[in-house]
Amino acid sequence: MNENPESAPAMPPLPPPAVQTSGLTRHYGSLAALSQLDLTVQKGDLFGFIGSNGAGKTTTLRILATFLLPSAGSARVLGYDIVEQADNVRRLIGYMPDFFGVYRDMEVTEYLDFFGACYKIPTAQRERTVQDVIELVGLSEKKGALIGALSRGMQQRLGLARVLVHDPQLLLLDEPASGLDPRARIEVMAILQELQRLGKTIIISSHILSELQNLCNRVAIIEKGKMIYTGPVQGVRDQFEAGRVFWVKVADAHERAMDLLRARPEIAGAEWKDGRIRAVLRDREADPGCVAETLVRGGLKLVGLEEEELGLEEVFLRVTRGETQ
Amino acid sequence: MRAEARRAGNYWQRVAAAGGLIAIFWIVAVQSWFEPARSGALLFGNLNSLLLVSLALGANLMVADCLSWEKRERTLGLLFLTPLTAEAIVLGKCVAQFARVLVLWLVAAPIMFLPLLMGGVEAWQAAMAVGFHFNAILWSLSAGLVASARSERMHRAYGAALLAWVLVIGLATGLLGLHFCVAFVPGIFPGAGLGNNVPWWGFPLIGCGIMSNVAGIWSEFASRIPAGVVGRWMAHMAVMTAMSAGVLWLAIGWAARCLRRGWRVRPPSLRQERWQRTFCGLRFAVGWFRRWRARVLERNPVAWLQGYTWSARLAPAVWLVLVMIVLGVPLLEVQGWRISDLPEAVLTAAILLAPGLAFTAASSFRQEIRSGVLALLVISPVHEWRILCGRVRGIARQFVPATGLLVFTSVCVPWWGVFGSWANDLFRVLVAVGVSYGAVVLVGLYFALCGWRVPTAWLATLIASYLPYLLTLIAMGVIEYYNWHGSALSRFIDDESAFLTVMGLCQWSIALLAFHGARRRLQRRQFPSPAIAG
Repeated sequence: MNENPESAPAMPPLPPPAVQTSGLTRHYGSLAALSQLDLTVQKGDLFGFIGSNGAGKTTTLRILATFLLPSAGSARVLGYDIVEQADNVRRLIGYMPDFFGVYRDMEVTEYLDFFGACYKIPTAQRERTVQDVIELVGLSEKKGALIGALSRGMQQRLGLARVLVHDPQLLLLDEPASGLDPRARIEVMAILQELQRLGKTIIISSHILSELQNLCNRVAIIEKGKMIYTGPVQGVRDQFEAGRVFWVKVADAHERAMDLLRARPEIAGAEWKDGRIRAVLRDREADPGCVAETLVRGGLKLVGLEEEELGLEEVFLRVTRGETQ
Repeated sequence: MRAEARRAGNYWQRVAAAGGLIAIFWIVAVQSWFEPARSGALLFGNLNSLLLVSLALGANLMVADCLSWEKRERTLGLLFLTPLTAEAIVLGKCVAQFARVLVLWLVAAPIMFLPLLMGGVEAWQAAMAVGFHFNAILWSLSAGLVASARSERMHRAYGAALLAWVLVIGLATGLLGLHFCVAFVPGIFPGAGLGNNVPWWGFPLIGCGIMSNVAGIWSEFASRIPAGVVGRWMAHMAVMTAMSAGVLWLAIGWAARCLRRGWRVRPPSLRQERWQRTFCGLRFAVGWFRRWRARVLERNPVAWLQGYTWSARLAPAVWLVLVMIVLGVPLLEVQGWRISDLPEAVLTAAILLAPGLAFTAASSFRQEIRSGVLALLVISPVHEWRILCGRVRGIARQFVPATGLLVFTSVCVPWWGVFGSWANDLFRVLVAVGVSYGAVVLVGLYFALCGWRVPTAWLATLIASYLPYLLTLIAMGVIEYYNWHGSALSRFIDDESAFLTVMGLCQWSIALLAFHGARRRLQRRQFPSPAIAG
């Protein structure tokens, strides 16, 4: 069959994903820290990386940052192979590890200036950039201070500033919000959202899942070095939530209300809990309207009806067993 | 003590100590057999000297960073929150390090028994040796503990410990020498009047000689000492040991007091800040200095790291002053030294700089490894060879003024007519020492990345860098033993120019191997990680 190029306009080639790993494996002696990890992060994603302690998050980020070599498998970052083209990868990424990596007896500006020089930023541009990132992370008042005199949260901000100093396209952030006070945490999250708006791709590992839920557009859940889920945040609920849950409040006769609900084939179960009825639909395709309809038709006075929003933390607890290696 | 037992380095240290002592035993044994009549005594004396120096220096270096490390890691505060007292902490550290030294001593003990079996060494000499070893260890621990309690930074702790060690050993051996001259010399050498003719700096030398039994001098005394003196000698030894234990007790108390006063993290006071601004900050040519530092940062950020603090910038001056002091002794004709002794002084200063270079190189990257900066550097576009070259440049810069002065002296002084025929020899030797400096730095960087303790890395650096010379010493022993004086090997060693050239080449081969190894370590991230992989 001949194709007419005019009738079917040529699709522009898809840009390469920011990160693509295939069968990524890393052994520490006999221990498999990562096992056959396949991961794709598209450009512009704010990607959450979730897992228990020792699940393999840090190992993955270290491999992507070219700090560790994989034992098997391959990974490409912004189109470059992390083993063969590590130099190109390093220029394009900013890695914030789970340790500070600071000279305690160096001043804030000196430290950023030093790393700016490591990334070969010309002197004149470096001075301006350092001032900008200091301002961005809210360290303007501390720019002349010794790093050793900064609080843990301030040092964390400094680490974020260091990551930004060479304007990388991909940020790999390992627990960036740990040690920050609530206000600083919100500020950091706002900075990350702003960076995403500017077109940066961000991979962030964190234990504070409620924040990732609001921040990230995609997440990956990893346990014992294996990928359990990767996809949109909403998708994780859809995948792991067996059926939707509704909380029902009736004026009286709640025993009868529960009997009526249990009698419906779409409803898997109903129980009395915390002064309300908890009704669970059999599957996600079941019509949620059946709950209200059943009660109203049964002549009961419906006082409240509310769908349970399953948080990322609850999903995480359900799908993982908290096993470390 | 449990933490110490888990360190693999301690086991290697024992293996290295045993291996080193066996190697040295061979060198010393061959030299001792030239005098078969007193080979046992000579061997015992020479081995005892080596063991005494090793134990004393080893004990000092082992204890030097034990308390300052706790301060740096901020774990001292946690210890103080427990019911442990400062005295208990210092005593615990002291006992742990004493156990390590004791193990080293036990490793060496079987080798020390061999001269006893060969004959010519009496039981009281063995008891004396044990007594002096014990005393030297106690003095070294005392010096190291106090220095460690007063310091926080690693370099400062080691520097202070070595300085305190020199002072304590100097004082103790001085008192021992004085006591020997007053209490024993009249009985052993009647009419010698030794005590009256010895200059003040001679007493520590006599004390060191007595303690070390160098060249088997105890056997010399044995033939001269009247009956009953040995008993008196042993009684004095017991008193000296009790006094040394008292000194250690005082040192523990002092160190505990220092810890109690200084364990809390305190910001510098306003006065300290003012002093620092006044004396450690730049006063002149500030603009030029800033431009120069910016240029260094632009060219090689790692080299820039070597001088970002005022204390680091002070290091070249410290080495320069040290060389000036050594050269100043013959120039100012201090204590009987003459200007004609200048070649020896130049050589001494040149040789002294080598352990300094080795220490600086072997202890470098430590802060970067501990803080995680090295992990960040290797994933920046700075190449591994640039990291290493930058560090080499940074270390070299610290020693440029001191080596410059040495070169200037060795080149210019012959014009004053001081050396005569020595000039050419000295220059050749200095070139060889200079060549070895480069090797020492490269080898030191390799051992720095191994993550060993500083004293172990330092010793390994010195041994690996000067391995060709150590092997030559063994070869000389073989030549002497088999009387191969006309052999090609012997002729090669006698030809100074060829010998030094080959030694230099061997050293640089080792250095290049070490550099390659260091680069591979950086490439493969084979250095201790600041964080546990998740």
